[in-house]
Amino acid sequence: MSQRGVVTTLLSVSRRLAGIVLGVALAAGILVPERTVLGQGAPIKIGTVFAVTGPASSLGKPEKDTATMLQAQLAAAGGVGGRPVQIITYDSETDPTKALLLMKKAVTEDNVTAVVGGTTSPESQAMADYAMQADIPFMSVAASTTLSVPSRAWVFQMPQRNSIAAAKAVEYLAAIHARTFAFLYRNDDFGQDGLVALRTYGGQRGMAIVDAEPFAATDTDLSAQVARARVKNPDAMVVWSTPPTASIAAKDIRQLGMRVPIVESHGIANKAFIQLAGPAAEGVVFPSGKLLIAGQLPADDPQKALLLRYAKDFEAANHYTANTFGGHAWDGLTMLLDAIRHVGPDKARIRDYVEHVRGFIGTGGVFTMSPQDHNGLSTRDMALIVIRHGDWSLWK
Amino acid sequence: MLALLPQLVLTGLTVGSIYALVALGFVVIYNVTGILNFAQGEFPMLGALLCASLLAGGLSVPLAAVAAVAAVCVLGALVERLAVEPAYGSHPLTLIIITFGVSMAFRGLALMVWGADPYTLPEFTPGAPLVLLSGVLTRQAVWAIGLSLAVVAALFLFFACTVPGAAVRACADNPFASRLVGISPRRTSLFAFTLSAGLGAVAGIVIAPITGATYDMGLGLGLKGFVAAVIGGLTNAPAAVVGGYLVGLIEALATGFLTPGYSGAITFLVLLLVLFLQREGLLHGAQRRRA
Amino acid sequence: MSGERLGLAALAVALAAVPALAPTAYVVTLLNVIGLYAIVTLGLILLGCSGQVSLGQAAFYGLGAYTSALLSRDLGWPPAATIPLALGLVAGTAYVVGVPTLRLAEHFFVLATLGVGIIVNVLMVQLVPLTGGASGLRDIPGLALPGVRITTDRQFYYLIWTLVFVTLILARNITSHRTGRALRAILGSEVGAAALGVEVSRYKMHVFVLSAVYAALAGALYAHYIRFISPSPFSLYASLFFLIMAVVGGLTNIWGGLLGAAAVTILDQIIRAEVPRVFPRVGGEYQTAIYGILLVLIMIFFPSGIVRGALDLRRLLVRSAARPAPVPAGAQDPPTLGDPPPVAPRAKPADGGGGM
Repeated sequence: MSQRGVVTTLLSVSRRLAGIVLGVALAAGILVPERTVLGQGAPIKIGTVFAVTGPASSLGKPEKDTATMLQAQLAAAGGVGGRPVQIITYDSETDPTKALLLMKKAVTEDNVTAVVGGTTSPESQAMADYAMQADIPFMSVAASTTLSVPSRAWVFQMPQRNSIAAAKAVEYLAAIHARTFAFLYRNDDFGQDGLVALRTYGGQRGMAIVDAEPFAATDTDLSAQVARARVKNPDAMVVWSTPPTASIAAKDIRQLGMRVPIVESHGIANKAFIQLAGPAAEGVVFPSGKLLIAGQLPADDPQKALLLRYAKDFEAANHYTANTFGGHAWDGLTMLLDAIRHVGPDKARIRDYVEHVRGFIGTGGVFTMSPQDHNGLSTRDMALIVIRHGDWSLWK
Repeated sequence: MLALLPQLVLTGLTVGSIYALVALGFVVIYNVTGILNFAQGEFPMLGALLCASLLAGGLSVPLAAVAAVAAVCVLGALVERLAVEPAYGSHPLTLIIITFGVSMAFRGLALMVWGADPYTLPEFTPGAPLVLLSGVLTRQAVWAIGLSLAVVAALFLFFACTVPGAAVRACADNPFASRLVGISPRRTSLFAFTLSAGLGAVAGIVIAPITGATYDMGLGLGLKGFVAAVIGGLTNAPAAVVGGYLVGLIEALATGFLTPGYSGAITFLVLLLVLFLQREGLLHGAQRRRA
Repeated sequence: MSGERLGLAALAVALAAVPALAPTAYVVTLLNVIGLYAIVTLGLILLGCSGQVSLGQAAFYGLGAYTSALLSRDLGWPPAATIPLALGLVAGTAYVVGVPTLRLAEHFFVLATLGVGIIVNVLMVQLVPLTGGASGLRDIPGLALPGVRITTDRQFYYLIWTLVFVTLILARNITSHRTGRALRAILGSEVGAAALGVEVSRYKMHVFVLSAVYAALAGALYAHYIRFISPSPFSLYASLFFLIMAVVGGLTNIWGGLLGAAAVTILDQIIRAEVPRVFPRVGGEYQTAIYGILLVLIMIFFPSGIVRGALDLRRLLVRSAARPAPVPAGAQDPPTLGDPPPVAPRAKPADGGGGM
């Protein structure tokens, strides 16, 4: 290669290099978080990583909006115990890798005291492993049973875990004297987890799963699965999914002429299910947090006041209806704030405090944690809800 | 197990008719332009969601459906003019990547407009489902099956018996010679995209009452329709419809008689088999002119 | 060639210095991810050099990750052994997949790789006893090579970027020597290349297997770095994402792998930081729309990637200074994926499309 050729190549290579360096510098600049100092002293920071975008955005968006709302309320109240608190929000895009990287960022770069997040179970699993390595309190908002069974030192779970919802569903099946049921489930962590839990709790009550039918989240017709289940003549049909497949399942069950009761999961706790399933939604029973029917709760219910206030504040701030997912973010954040108020911003002391929380009233239930139970909820914290005339009401 | 068969066949035909309508859109575009349009599945999504919005805006069902189809036709034409036409003459892979880009753009924009919640449309003729042997068929499924067959017949008449149809065929067969006799390949390409966008919109509106409509329904629908079109040889409209029904039946039978959960994988296994066999000439090859 | 080598050396020095200069640990983490993506994208670009586009790279990426993770986790084998095993297994898989698929015309090859990608992803979700299903695999052992334990982000940075360099130089050598000329001939015209005595199918197979091995290497590193895997990062969307990176960098430009991965990852950060500021009420996957439009624009105006596209554009602007009206860059692009065909120019698709 000629001398000039070498120089040209070198120039072009160095130009590329400059581009890369510039890019890295740019990235570094962008990644430095905005610091909004509220009140006096260095703020105590809490990191949140939710799936604000991506397939789980309908869960992650209300979670993030709850965090933003709480930040505003904190700013108005002047922080916790006189010290400002900053809630940093990150978007994991429903990607476990990104969730983990953002949690690392929050811990190593923002020096957060604790982390709330992990909208989907795979995201939460990845983040929980890191919480154990980095010794940082992590409040998961995902429902997978394996997140808190067995319990891990730094990992706490805010939603009623899948197995509690399954146990609640079994309570209903027992009440209607069902001896057998068929189980249709979305074939992902949510459905697979539900299958394990229903098999366990159903078995304890002497019920048999006569048929288990998986389907994909993208399936548009489930009559083949329903037809297989129908042959087994179950006393009830249990569906573990979210709309649209949860609605398609209910429709196909009725269209294929099955008259048995339909039980669905807490994944249908939104109006989209009723709208999509139409008449087939009538009479469907599902376990859920009490937020949906807060107005119908008896006046002495310990959660009633909080639930009504949360729903009202959320709707005023965000102009759409509050749901249970945002509630899980609320529970995680307020429990941490409660800990900080009592023991200050020390990670290990926060962990110890949260582990011994007793009777903490949240949107998901009344939490009573212990070293063996990092969820702290039971079937009492869920309600059985029946769909009547296109609306939710408490099942008696 | 045999008791399941009637239901599985009816399910397969229902789902298959949807795939058939999407496959027809592929075939029209491929025939005229030689492009595999990976954005085809987005047209049903747009048709269904637009129709749902128009209904919510107070239009009657037939009016909303016609307006939605027309709007999607315009979008199809825009795609051709803005994204495909400027790249004509590029490497075929460039054009494929462009259609992937169009698909992503539509999906993202639909999410911004309609959000992630599913929408639904009312059934065209509500009523109890029909019972055939021991299987049931919803009235909406009858509409879907009927429409897919009617559209094939209409397309056949159009291409065989009308002058514009003949012009499109001529252009697909030999663009250079067509230009000599005054047929514009640019215009036929525009026409192909408009027509198949409309076909897609019809498919979306027909199936929305059965399955609901979400911003992300396009990719899955498009891929299944694609498999159907390839099974049919990509150039033959009636064969594509048969391909659609075949994919639907395979999915339903695989779900019913094998382990459920693998039906997605089985569809694509069939696709691979068809691609390999096609090479050997067992089905009429669409690629013989490509060597 | 020595200029190129000097450039590589300069880049190596710059990259070696980055961790020391990096303002925060997260930047190092981000660079690690860019490095992993760059390795996969490099494989895709090697494939692009032979005129093929694959939408199944995420499957090989995932197979590499799952194989190494399962062997080391469940059998207790050291990652130093399981990573090469994973690469071998993926190479074998790619060969088996390649035998029938590489004979297909290019757009059917895209379709076939897409099918393979979806099948592999379904298996990851379905084979619950083996893969842990959609919930994923936890407790994957960290990386311990003989003598060193690689645990921190910084240690991984040096490992990953050394491998980026090795793969880059390997790809560079392949494309600039005899194989490279053969590949470019194939890209121009397979029939023409065959007529010149190039063993088309053998070269295509080599490149296809190598691109799969690249993806598997990145996947195996990913598994031991993140220590948690689930099927979602290995779905069709990931394949599309890798394709976007390759396209941004230039589908036949070896440097494009590095650039594409860096540019897209950084763009991603910018979009996520800036768009909510401009449109505060927009939730959901707005980036999908931006990526889609970006992909269309790049393919129309810069089909050879942004680097070459920018250079072309500048050349055009310089030239147009002497001329009254500038010509749009896209109007003069040659009908190829990248370089103008050195052998026979291929037929335009509009002429060669299927008949009725």
